[in-house]
Amino acid sequence: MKTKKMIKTLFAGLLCGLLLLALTACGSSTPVIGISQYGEHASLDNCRIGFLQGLAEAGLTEGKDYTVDYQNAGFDDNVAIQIGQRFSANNVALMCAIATPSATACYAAAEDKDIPVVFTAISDPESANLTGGNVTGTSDKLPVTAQLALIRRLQPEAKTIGILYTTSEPNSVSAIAEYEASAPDYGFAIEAIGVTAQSEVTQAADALLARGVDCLSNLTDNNVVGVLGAILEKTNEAGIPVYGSEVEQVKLGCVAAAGIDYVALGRQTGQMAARILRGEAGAADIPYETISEYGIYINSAALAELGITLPEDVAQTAVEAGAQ
Amino acid sequence: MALLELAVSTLTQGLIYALLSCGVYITYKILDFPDLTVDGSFPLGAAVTAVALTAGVNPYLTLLLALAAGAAAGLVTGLIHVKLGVRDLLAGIIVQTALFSINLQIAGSNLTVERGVATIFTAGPTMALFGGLSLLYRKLVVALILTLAVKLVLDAYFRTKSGLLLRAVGDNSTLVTSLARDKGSMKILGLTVANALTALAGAVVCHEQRSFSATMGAGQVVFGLAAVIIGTTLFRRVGFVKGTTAAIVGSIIYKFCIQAAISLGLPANLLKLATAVLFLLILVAGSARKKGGNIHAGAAARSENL
Amino acid sequence: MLELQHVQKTYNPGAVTELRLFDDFNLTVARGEFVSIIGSNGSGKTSLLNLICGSIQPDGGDVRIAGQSILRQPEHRRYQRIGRVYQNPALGACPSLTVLENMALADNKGRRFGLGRGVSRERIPFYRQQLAGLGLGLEDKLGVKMGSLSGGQRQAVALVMATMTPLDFLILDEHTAALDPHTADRIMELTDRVVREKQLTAMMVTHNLRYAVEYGSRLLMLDHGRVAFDCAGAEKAALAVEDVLGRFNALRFDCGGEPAPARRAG
Repeated sequence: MKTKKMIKTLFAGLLCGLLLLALTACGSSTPVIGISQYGEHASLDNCRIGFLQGLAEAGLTEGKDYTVDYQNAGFDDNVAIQIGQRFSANNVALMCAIATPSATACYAAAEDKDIPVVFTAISDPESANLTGGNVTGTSDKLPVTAQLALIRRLQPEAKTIGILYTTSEPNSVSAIAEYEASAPDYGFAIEAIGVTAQSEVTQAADALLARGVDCLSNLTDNNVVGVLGAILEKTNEAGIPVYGSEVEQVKLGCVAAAGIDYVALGRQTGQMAARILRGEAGAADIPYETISEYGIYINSAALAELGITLPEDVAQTAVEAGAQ
Repeated sequence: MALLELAVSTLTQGLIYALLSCGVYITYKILDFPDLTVDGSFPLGAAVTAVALTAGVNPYLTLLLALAAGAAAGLVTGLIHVKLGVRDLLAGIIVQTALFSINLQIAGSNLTVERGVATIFTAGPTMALFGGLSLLYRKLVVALILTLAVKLVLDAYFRTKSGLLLRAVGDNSTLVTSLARDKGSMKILGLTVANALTALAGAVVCHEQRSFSATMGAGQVVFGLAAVIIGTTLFRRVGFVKGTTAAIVGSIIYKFCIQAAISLGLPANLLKLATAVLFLLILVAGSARKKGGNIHAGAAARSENL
Repeated sequence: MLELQHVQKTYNPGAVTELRLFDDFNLTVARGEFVSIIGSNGSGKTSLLNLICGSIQPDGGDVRIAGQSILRQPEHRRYQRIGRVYQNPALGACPSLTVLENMALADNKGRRFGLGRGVSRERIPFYRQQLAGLGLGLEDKLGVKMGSLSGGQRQAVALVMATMTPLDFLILDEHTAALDPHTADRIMELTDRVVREKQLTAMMVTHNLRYAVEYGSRLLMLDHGRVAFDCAGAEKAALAVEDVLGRFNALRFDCGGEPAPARRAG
């Protein structure tokens, strides 16, 4: 008897909790935008910030035109699944998914109801099968040739570029392929080392340095970027410059980057979402967009420390991202 | 409506992952073997399924493929432990690590399945039976059927001669030797079955999410153990409740806890902490009832659990 | 029936704790004999049982049953024809299975453990009858989990389980040592009855000199890995506890200066 009572109480408690929260979600009559972000990460945060800015720029006001239900999966695929299901159950007007696992989960959860999904920070929407349905968004495909050109300008004598990447991240794998295809055009060879987990990254960095690479170039690989500080310690000691792939990495101490501005990417995404919310277009009608402009970001302090001089023309267009 | 839908989709998740917790029930509760292969065999099932679905294999058949792949993984862990004498935890770690590469080798990289491809939730026979239901409820029904089928087969198996002997291995392996049976081969058998179920769970998740990711196995051992312990703690005093039922209920409660934590709108960094606190409450509530019963049963329960 | 020929066994060879237990140990047990084995700690009683059952391997010599060497058989194979009751009542059965399920497991010993029904209904009357023979009322507790029975009840069931299928040997490894004196007496009586009824060949290690004298057809006293005293037949029947105790004390006196070697197992 006691057990039954106990189980009843437990389930009642759980249901009450859910009820309360479901009510808070239903309470407002303004459309809800569910934002599912894969994890806490500077670039992904920038996407979200930009997304909200984009909505504002399109003339939508938070609280009046929409409310936001922001959820973060803490890099757990299974939590991302349940976040998507929450959005679907609450009948959100639109799901904004930041990074591939969240986008996959949201898209699966929206399948039943045809809730539009707008994604961002996905390198290859085609291979992630995030095309064709009630889904659109922005891709953060790296400007690889621009990066190669930048490195050539800053290090005219360099021969090999070392790259660390996670073998399971399709974004990284496709970026490596692109690097390898384009590198000969700029007179480079690529030395890439793949890892399976973040714990292996610093060891892999040692291995790259031992192979005598002239510089390192970063992707937007979560595992690698997560321990960028430790990598920079090693490379600075060895006197090897590291190039980033976006502004946040340059802030951390990379010498320079031809990279995406994730806030701009987010803004672009927010504007797409606004069109969908206003009913101007369906997500299915809007093809996904790849950001075509990239910025050149530099960290003067890091450049000076490694004795790299910035050519005048590069300096003119570059944005200083390092500490002043 | 929203609440009902949320409850239905969370229940569906609980039922799907219950396939995994039933597997962990076999290794952890019956064999007394902390099997870490799970973190690798779960995505293995998804990898095999994603590749097979993309290649146009019949969706129902992919479940059998996943079962076979998981069984092979469990078999390897068993052989490493029994024949090479590697400790239980290490044998699991070795196979789990190897599977990370193998899964990526199978799938190429993280892999998604196009919406046009039929899954067990959308294929012809499913639609013929449950086409009248919305996808949300169809998923629930299919997951329920699968999980119940597995539960009934397992319960039936535990009553066979082989099943009794398997239960004896974790309980008292000396007796198994006295019965002139090799306890090692029974352990291998148990690991094989458990990992087949784990891979089946991965396969169903792949059907449901239309994706395989190399990292989807992270934390599944912890989930499985939590589900089994929650379930058995809740039902420890109810003699007629089968272990498989406890594992299934545990899985459902776990998924409800996570959903509750998400719905509370906690910052991501606190999500796991909140989940941990919820488990602790359940475990404490479960064991608090020990004081009520007679001492003997309490002692028996204590020796059986945790 | 059972022959141990020139058996050698040294524990921890080469180490400071090296212990040469058996050096050319020989023993023959005939079919139908009920051998009680006594000896102080470290005399080799339990090692002897383990050598026969296969949980330890000799360094030299041979162990033969019915003229065939069994040294190459793994432990679990040897149990095809050996039944064993342990000192710890928990080792004789599965605590989380019911009495009935335990009986069914024991009943299937020597056969395939396949996907057939674990507990066959037709056999229940037989199990009941076997348990009723114990006189402990266990025939009415078939559905009870083994773990909730008392130590004496468990040991009684373990005895029934160990002797349910045809055996070459019954090994009793201090099987009354963990029980209270009253229950121990009861289990000992039951053991004697089972051995007689089934005409088993049995080897019983015990610390209880009275049991060794009262029960069994042969008495073996081990000391430091050798047979110090061996009597059977009429001589055994005429033996009194005092005689054995005298011999036992004499042994102690002989080697009083030596520290007793560490006990290995059991």
